[in-house]
This record gives sequence, structure tokens and C-alpha cells, in this order.
Amino acid sequence: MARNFQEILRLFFPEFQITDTVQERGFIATSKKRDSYARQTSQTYSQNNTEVKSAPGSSVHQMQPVSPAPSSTAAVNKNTAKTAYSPAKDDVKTLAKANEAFDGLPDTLKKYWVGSEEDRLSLCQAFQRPYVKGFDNVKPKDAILIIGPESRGKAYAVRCLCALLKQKKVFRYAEVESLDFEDYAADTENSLFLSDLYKSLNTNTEAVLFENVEKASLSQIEIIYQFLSDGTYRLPKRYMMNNGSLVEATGVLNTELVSEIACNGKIFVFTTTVSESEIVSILGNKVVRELGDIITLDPIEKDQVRDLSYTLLSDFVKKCKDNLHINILLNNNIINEVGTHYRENLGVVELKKYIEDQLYEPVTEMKLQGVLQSGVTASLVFDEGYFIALEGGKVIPVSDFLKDYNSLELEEARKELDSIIGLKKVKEFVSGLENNFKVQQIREGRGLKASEISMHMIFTGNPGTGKTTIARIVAKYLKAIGVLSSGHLLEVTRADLVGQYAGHTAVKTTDVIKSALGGVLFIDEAYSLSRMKEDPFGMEAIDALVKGMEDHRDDLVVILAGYEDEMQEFLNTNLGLKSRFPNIVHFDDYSADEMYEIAKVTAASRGYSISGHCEEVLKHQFEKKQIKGRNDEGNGRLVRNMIEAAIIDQSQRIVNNPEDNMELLIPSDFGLGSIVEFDLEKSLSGIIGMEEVKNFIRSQYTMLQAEKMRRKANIGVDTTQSLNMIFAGNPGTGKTTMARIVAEMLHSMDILKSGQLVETDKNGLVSGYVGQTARKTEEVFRSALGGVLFIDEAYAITNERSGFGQECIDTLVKLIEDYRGEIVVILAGYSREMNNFMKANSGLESRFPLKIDFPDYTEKELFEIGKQMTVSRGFTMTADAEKAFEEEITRLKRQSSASSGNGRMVRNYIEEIIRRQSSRIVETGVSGEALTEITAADIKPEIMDHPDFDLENELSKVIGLDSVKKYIRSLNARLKLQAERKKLGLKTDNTQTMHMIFAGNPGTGKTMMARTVANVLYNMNVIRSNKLIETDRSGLVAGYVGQTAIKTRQVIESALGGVLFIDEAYSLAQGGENDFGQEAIDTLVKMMDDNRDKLVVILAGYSDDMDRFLDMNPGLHSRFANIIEFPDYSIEELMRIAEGMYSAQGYVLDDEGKDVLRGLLEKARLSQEFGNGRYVRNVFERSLNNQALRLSGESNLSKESLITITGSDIREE
Amino acid sequence: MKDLIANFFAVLWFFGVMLGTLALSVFTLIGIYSMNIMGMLKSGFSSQTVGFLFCFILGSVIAVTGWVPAFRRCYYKLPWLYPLCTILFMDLFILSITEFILAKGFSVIDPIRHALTLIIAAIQFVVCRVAMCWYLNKYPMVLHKYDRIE
Repeated sequence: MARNFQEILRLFFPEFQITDTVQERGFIATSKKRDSYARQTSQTYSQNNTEVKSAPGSSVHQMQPVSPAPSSTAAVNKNTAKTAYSPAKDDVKTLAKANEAFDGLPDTLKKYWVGSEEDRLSLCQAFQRPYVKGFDNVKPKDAILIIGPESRGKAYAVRCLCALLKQKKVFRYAEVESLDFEDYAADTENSLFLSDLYKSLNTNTEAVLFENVEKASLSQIEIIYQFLSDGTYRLPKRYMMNNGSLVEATGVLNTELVSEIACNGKIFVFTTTVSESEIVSILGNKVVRELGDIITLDPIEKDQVRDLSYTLLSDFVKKCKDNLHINILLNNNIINEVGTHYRENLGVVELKKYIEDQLYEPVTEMKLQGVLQSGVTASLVFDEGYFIALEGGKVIPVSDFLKDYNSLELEEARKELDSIIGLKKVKEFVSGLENNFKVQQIREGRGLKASEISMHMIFTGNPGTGKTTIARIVAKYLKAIGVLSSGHLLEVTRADLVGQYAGHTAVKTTDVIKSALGGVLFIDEAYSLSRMKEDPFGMEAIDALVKGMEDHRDDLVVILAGYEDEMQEFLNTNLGLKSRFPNIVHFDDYSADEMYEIAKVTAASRGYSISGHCEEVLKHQFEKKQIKGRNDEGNGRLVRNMIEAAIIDQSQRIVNNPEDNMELLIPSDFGLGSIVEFDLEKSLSGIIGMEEVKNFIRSQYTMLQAEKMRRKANIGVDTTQSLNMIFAGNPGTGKTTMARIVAEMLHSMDILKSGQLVETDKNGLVSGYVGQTARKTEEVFRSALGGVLFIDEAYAITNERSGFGQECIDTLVKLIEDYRGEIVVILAGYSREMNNFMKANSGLESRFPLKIDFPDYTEKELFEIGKQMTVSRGFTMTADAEKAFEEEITRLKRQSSASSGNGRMVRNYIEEIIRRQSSRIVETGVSGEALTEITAADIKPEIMDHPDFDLENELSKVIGLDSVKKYIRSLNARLKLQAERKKLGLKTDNTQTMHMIFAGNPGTGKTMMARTVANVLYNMNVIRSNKLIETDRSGLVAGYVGQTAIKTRQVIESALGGVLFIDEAYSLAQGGENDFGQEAIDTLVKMMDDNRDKLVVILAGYSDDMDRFLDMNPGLHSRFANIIEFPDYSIEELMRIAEGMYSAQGYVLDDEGKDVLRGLLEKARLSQEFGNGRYVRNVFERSLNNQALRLSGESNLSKESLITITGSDIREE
Repeated sequence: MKDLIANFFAVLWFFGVMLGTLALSVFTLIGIYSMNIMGMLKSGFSSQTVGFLFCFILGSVIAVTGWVPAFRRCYYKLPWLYPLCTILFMDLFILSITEFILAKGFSVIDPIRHALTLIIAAIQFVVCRVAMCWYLNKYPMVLHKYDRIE
């Protein structure tokens, strides 16, 4: 009651709190204060315990390691936890007394940390050392190196000791700052390291923990050494504190700049996982000498494992109590069972994880599902599995609530591997890995040294051979046998590893490696990392990769994948890589049988089945598709694509025939009927002539046939022969056709797998740049793999100066060797050139044993070919036409040269005939069979008479020039007569030259007459068109050496089939010795001779000049037989010309005007430069202007005045 | 040396300012109650308010003492000092409000207004006082850790 009253009083008068404080802590705070700190620390410590991962729970102190209480509950643990660290009363913190605190410390430590007696002792001694030895606050109190395996509890031991020493008031702080050297691997300038170090050394801790000291860089070790020897480290730069971190302060004047870091009398503890000898060599003797203690922790022994498991289980029980509100009771059985799962190489963490996965997770699941209620007490028992026994007698198997993440078991992986079709070698390799690992474990078990073997692999092989699938299985396998901790597969390519700027790549790659830790890093197309020698990004990635592989040797497997050749090259460019990847696994291409199996599996996975009829055809198809060196679309992927295509086709079929089996894929779905046999004779019968070639092909065919028969009878005779051939012969002799037949034949005989013909020539193989030729050649060659590579005009490859041709030949020779049996190469060209070519390249000669000569076709054969072509195009020939055709072919054959004759000529001619026939039937409008009938008229079209052409009419337009007219008339008459003679079959002189020279003064109508000549010749069928190309010196002669011939040639070519009119032709010869005009003349003369039938050249110029011109060029004289003089016009003629001009424009010249004009002409005629017709035109134009000027002043104009030209208009003013 | 100077000033502040202010505040508290509030209630006339002014002075001194590390030491050294300051300030503030309400209410002579003022003042005082009790009960000053160590 009184208490109640007091409480109420206190409630309403909080001022009592002041007196309470005085009572509790005294008027002036002294010892009471310390008490409060201790309380706080004890809390911190218990927090610490739950934070430290590898550490036992705070309940540990309860445990009696030798015989743990069988039913220690979490509840008890918790209650005692609070009072566990009750501070000792009135302790004095002096150096002398500190040593007392170390008495019994090892035993106290035993409660928290599992380890051997000696380890504990040496740890405590190490911490005691400075208190015995004495210390100042400048140098570190002590430097301790703890060596022990991964996850052994090195850091935890230090934390426990610090907390205990804090309890005993030796230390002022329980916290331990830790730095992990692994975090500073990429910190090249140590700025981050220094900053963190500064922070660690200036926080309230007694000890600083340096983890993984073996990862420290040289400069970091140097910094450590400075601390150990001097107690301070002088910074190379000046820094200032900014928000708790060091910031470089260059150029800042400030008295508070940090110039050195002091160690503030902390204890330095280093931990490492490597052996003592190794760490000594890493740190160097001078550092080791500064170390106060080097403690090598013993591995956890059998009896200690029990302690460990009990510790961890207590932690688990506490967690259940705290988080799930379930009291779990443990028994000895469980502790022993859990202990058996401890693996020395995996450490305490793994055991903790095991408890987490196997016990805590399921219990959580039970709580979630409502199986366990809050506040229940359950005991955990083990009987061939974990069970939760409730108070009511209910027993729940833990495994029912186990999450099924453990599919990565060995059996599973093995089963998966077995289900893979083919790849026997790969399977052997994988099981070899397992065996080796097992043996190593046995060795380890017997105390022998286990040799670590490198598990990194290279998978080479074509796409679709299952590299990724196998990599995934390997990852699972390695996880299952315990090499890897996680067993996932991280598939990356160059893009995932390489960064965007220098320095970025290493970071990116390191990140990738980190995320792959515990699993397999699978780098597809790895060779792309070093495509070129100077690829800094790829190099950076490789370097980072190699480093990562070294750093995480035990928990990372890297698999590189790619094509075999490229990978080989890749390994050659990076010497370090080769030694790091000792396991090179080659994935062979699948055989047809394997592919069929894959097809069945693939189809089944999609709910389809393949009909048994498909087996033979599919295998045949697969066999043909698997071409060495060209399997980009082959293997597994080919099968998948074929199945997918077949499914689509099958759907089509099902739609049409709904009653068909919807699950069955039949051969027609694969687009395959039965295999069609190749009929050589049928193919050859289509070819005319070439009996020699045919016989050769036949002999090859029989040989192959025999081989096939032997193979069927399972008799192995090696008749392999090189089938590369040389086809020598002129163009149009059927080389390409024959090559196509050869390809088809070899394909049908299964010598070639796809049988395509790739036709190329020099341009397709040789490139203009250094180094490109080999690539180009290889590309073409690869595209022809499985078929025939036909190189036309092969001799031209070496016909150039650049030397790239030789590169092409070398590449070809190598490729032919590499892919022998996969390809047939046929070189084609003229016989003579090919002979020289083969002689010049001895490497080639031996590789082309078969040489086939293609003789030129005879006229008879050409005629047959022509007939066949017409028939094959669906046309028929009348008997007349056939006769005419034969004549024409004979004529053409005679006219042709070696390169223009033969088959191609016939084809072009037939095309011409068909064109003619087409235009005929359109014009005459025939029907029925006549539509495809070729008549003699189509072959030799009637010489057209051009009935509308009247020469006299044409000539009458021209005034004067009687002598010229006479020549034209005679020419016309002669040509007509010739035509008549031809009709009667009389001999005609075809060689008569038509070239002319028009000599005369300007304005005498030369150009006009040339046009008339063109018309005449065209109408007499001498030339094909009546076009007149007018040119002069400037049109023929160019400004630079060598250009003139080209220019002239172009002009002449444009005039072919017409008339070339060269005005002022004499000027071509007017220059000096080196004038380009001569070049034009030479070209002209040559072209005139070459195209005698197609070209008529007319040279024009002043009479005298032309004479001189012809004298200077004697060759011209003989070629221009006809020199036609154009005399000057007489007055009368000029008058008529003028009148003609006026009347044509609708003007009338009055009498006065005529007189004036006549007078004018008479006067002008005397002058040297009289322009004849051109003068008249000038006068005419001027008079029109004058008349207009005259009439412009008058207002009333009659029609008459408008058309009349008077003398005043003409008169010159 | 630095410590010595800091200590010197801390002592100076404590004895020169802190103690004086505390004493003043205690007297003010009594003064407000006995003279101002009782005076107003007796006479029925409004008088000048002084409470907020002293609130300000005390508050400033407490704040400065808290801000300056050297001055702060007195709190660590005398554990009762901080609860005293806090509670004293709270009391002073509550009383100052009451004084203010009365002064405002009594500034006009009107019986109803006077009665109303008295009621409001009483309610205010009780409410504030209860709130303070509740707060201090929830967050006892004793258990507040003055744990900035040394």
C-alpha cells in the first residue's frame, strides 16, 4: 500500500527523479558512472554475438562443452544472457592489475570459441604480451598474425578476446575494427585503403583486424611495416578530414591538414589463410620480425566438432525462441548428427548454413503453415532424418518442409549427362573429373596430400554441338561432387566482359567473375576477346580474367567455348592462358545416327513422333548437311530447325487431311520423298559433242559407282583420289555446264554433300588490299564447301603485279589440303594459259591431276547446239529456216575469233533470231503454231528496200554540188547492183571501202552531204543505222598522255554502225612530233580496220589542208579512196540558196533586193574567206533584222510590206 | 593544457552562470507563484508577466551548457543536474503560461471573463502538469544515459 502511494506520488511529482538520481549515482558521479558503461558494453557484446556470422550465439556461455545439458532450452539461455556479463565490482584499471585479468582467460574463451587448448593459450598470451612487455602509445601495442583455414573463426577469436578483456576492464572498448585487404585489390593508389585505415585507427577500439593479409599489395605491406616499426605512417600527400574521411588537400593552406597517420597504440591483428612459410615470403622478413606473435590455428578436431555443433545449435534454438517464439529442445543425438556434417575444407560457415537450411528454414515453414503455434515447446530428434516431436506426441518429419532446392545432386547430374546423345568423349571427360575428385578425397582422408587440379576447361566445337548444355551439366556435376559451392552457370560473351573505356573493362570483368563465384563462368565465343593483337580492351579482360581465376582458384571454374581453329589461335596469342586451361574438350560434330536420335528426342519434347519411314531419308539428309568447316547451321541446331519446319508442314497437311495422325511426322513433312538416283547418261545426253570429256566423266562415274558398291558390301578399299580438275578450253565450250554436271554427279554419288556449284573468277578471290585476299579466298572457298568451286579464267589470278595473286594461290592450296574430300575445285581457262599457269605454280599441279581439254565446237556441233537451244526454248524451225540457220552459223563461225565463237555465240545469235521473229509475228499478226515458228525470214531478214527512200528527192534538196551528187548517185547505183548480184548468187566484192574525204571550203555543204551519205548507206543496208556522229579534234584528242586513245575509242565506238564525221580532220596532224593528234589518228586507223563492216568514216576539211594531211599520213591515203571535192558555189547557186531561205521563212525578196544581193555576193566571192552558203545565211539573217528595224517606225503595215525584203534591208551599212 | 583551459572555463561557467541562473529560476518560480499569480487572484487586476522572460534566460543557459562540450561536463559530473534543469524549466514554463492566461484574462474587468479565465488557467495548469508527469514517467530522467564517455 505504502509502495503504491509512493509510486503515485512519484508519478505526479516527477521532481522526485532528481532525488532518485542523487540516490542512485551520488551527488557527484564517480564509480557509479563506470558501472553504467559496463552495463552498456555488455549489451553491445551480446549484440556483437548475433552479428558475427561465424560465431556462436550469445547463449554459448551456458554450454558445458564436454557434456551439454540434454534439454537446455532457449528460454533459459535468454534469461541468463542478461546477467552473463555482470561487471566485476570496483576493479582498478591499472597495468599491473591487467595481468591478473589474463588469468583464466583461456578458459573463459573456451566458452565462446572452439579451438584447441594451445590455440586458446597462445591467443591469450598474444594479447597479454604488451601488458607484460610494456607499451607506449606510439607504436602498436602488439602485432599478431593468426594463420588458419577459411572460416576457422580467426576474426571471431579476436572479437571474443576484446569483449572479454573489456569485461575485465583491461580494454576500454570491446569493438574491433576490421579491414579486409581483398576489398582493396583494385585500389591501386591506396587512397581508399589509407582513408579506411585512418578511420579505423581513430575510432574507439583497442584492436584493428587486418583480414586476408596475403592479398595485400606491396605498397600496403610497406604501409603496415611503417606502422609496425615507427608507429606512424607519413602520408605522401596532405589530406584533410571531411565528413570522417580523408580528402586530398592539394593547395589548401590549413593548419589542420593530416600529414601522418598514427596507430594510437592499437593492437594489430593480421589473419591469413595461407601457410606460414608462404605468408612469410609474402610479407617479407622485415615485417615478420616486427610481429609479436604468429599463431597457427589447428583445425577443429573431432571432439571439438561436437562443441561446435552444440554452439551452433544453441544459436539456432535461440533464434527459434526469439523470432518464431518456439521453444526447441535438443538432445545429444541431434548434436552428434549435426556434427557429422562438418567439413574441414568448408569451415564453420557451411555447418551454420547447413543448420539454417536443414533445420531453421523448415521450422520457419512449419510456423508459417500453422503446424507449429507460437509458444509451443517441441523437441528436435534425429532418427534417419530430422523430426519435430510435439508435446502431444505428434511427430512431424522436417523433410516434409524442406525446400527442394537440392535437385543439384550427383545422380541427377549423371542422369542428365547420360540423357545427352552422343558426345562420348565429353562424357568420359566429365566422369573423369568425378573420379579424380573422389580419389583426391580418399587421399585426403588417408592423410595424403591432395593435389589440386585445375578444372578450367576449353570447349571447342561447332555451334549446336551442345557446348552450353554440357557446361551447365558440368556446373551441376562439380557442385554435386563438391568442387563448387553453388554450381550455377553464368554464360557471358565478349560484350559482358569488355567495358566502354580503358580501365572500365577490368572492373566489369571482375564483377562478372564475382557473380560467377561458386559456379561456372562460361565464356562463349571466347576467341573474340582477342581478335586483333592490339585490342587493349580484350587484353584487359583477359588479364582480369586470369587474375580472377588465380584469386578464386578453389571456387570458380572457367569454361571457354568457341570454334576449334579460332580458339587455337586465341590460345596462341595469350601464352598465359594455355597453361591455365589444361582441359581441352573437343565436341565432335554429330554423326547422322546421333542427329536422328536427337531429332527423335526433339520431336518427342514437342509432343510429336517421327515415323519410321523417315529414318533413312532423314539420316541421308543429315549426312549431307554435315559438312566439315561449314557447320554453322549444322548439328543440334539443324535438327531443331528441321523439326520446326516439319511441324509447320505437318500442320498444313493436317488441315488438308484432318483424319491424319496429328502426332506423326512423315517424310513428306520433311520435304523428302524417296532418294532420286542420278542418271549420268541422261545428263550427258543433253550435251552435244565433247565426246572426250564425256568419256572421262563416264570413267569417273563408273569408278565412283564401283566404290559405292564396295561400300554397300562392306568392303573397304581405299580408292580415294583427288577429284580436283582443270578444264582447259576456249570460252563457250561448255566448261561451266560440264562443271555443273560434275557437281551433280558427285553429289548424287555422295562424294559431295551439297553439290552446289560456286562460280568465281579472279575478282572474286583477289582483293585490292594487303591481307584481304586470303580472307576473301577463304570466304568463297567456304561457301563452296560441300560442292564444287569453279574458278573461271584461273590463270588470271597470277597475272598481276601486286602479288596478291600468289597469296590467293597459297590460301587455295592450303584450303584444298584442309578440306580434302569436302570440295572439288575446278580451274578453267584457255589451254595455253592454263598450262603456263600450272607450270608456274608447282603446288597446284600436283593437286589437280585431272585435266580435261574442251575442244572448240565444229560448225556442225554449233548448228546442233543452236537447234537444241531453239527447241529447248519452245520454238520450231521450218526446213528453210534450218538451212539458212546452218549457213549463218557457218558464216558466223568463220568470222569469229577463238574467244567469240563457240556456244555463247550461238546463244546470242539465237536470241537475236527470236527477237526478230517476235517483231515479225507482231507486225504480220499470225496465230496458232506459227507463233513459235522460226522461218527463214527471221534468220536472214529480207533486205529492206525502204521503198519510201528516193535518192533523187533527197539530192534535189541540195543546190549545186553536181559533182558530189554524181558521186552519191554512183555509190547508190553500185550498192544496188551489188545487192542484185548477191541475190543471184554472184560474187560480190565486200571489201570495198566506204570511207570518204570531203574536201572543200567552209559553207559548201559538207556536213549536209555527209548526212545524205549516211541515209544512202543506211538505206542500202551498208550500215545498221543512219546515225551521224560529228566530231572534231577536240572530241578526239585529250589533254594527257594515254587519254587520247581512250577518248577516240569511245567516240568511235559510239559511231559504230553509223557514220563518223570528223570535221577539220587535218588539224589532227597539225601539232608537232609529240602531239596527241597522232595517237588519235593511229587509234582511228586501227578501229577502222577492226570494224570495217560497221563503220564509215568521213573526214572533212579545206582542200589544201586535207591534201597536206593525207600526204603526211600515208596510211590514210590508202584507206580513204574517195576524195570528194566540194567546189565553191556560183553566184546563181548562191542566189537560189538565198531565195530558198527567204521563201522557207515566208519572205519575198523584191527585184531591188535581188540586185543588191547579187552585187553583194559578187563582191564577197572575191575575198579569201568567203563563206559560201554560210555567208548567204548571214546576209539573210541580217536582212530580217534590218527589215524589222525599218518597219518598226511605220504604223500601218500591210501584209505585203511585212513579207517583202527590199534592197535597203540587204545593203550593208 | 587544452584540457586545463577547458576545465577552467567550465568551472567558471558553472559557478558564474549556471548556478546563478538556477538559483534565479528557483526564486522566479516561487516569485511567480506567490507574487504574480496569487497577487492577481487576490486583487483581481492584471499585472505584468515575467515568466517567459525567465524561461528564455534559463533555456538559453541550459542550451549553451549542452552545446559546449566543456560546459557539458557539469552534467556528467553532477548526475542530478540535468534532471533538475529539465524539470525546473518545465515547471517554469507551465507556470508562465498560467500567469500569461491570468494576466490576459484579468486585463478587462468583467466577472464572467474573470471566472472563465480562472477556469481556463486551472485547466491549463492541470493539463500541462499531467502531460509533464506522463512524459517524465515514460522517459524517466534517471535512466537517460549521459553516456558520452569522458
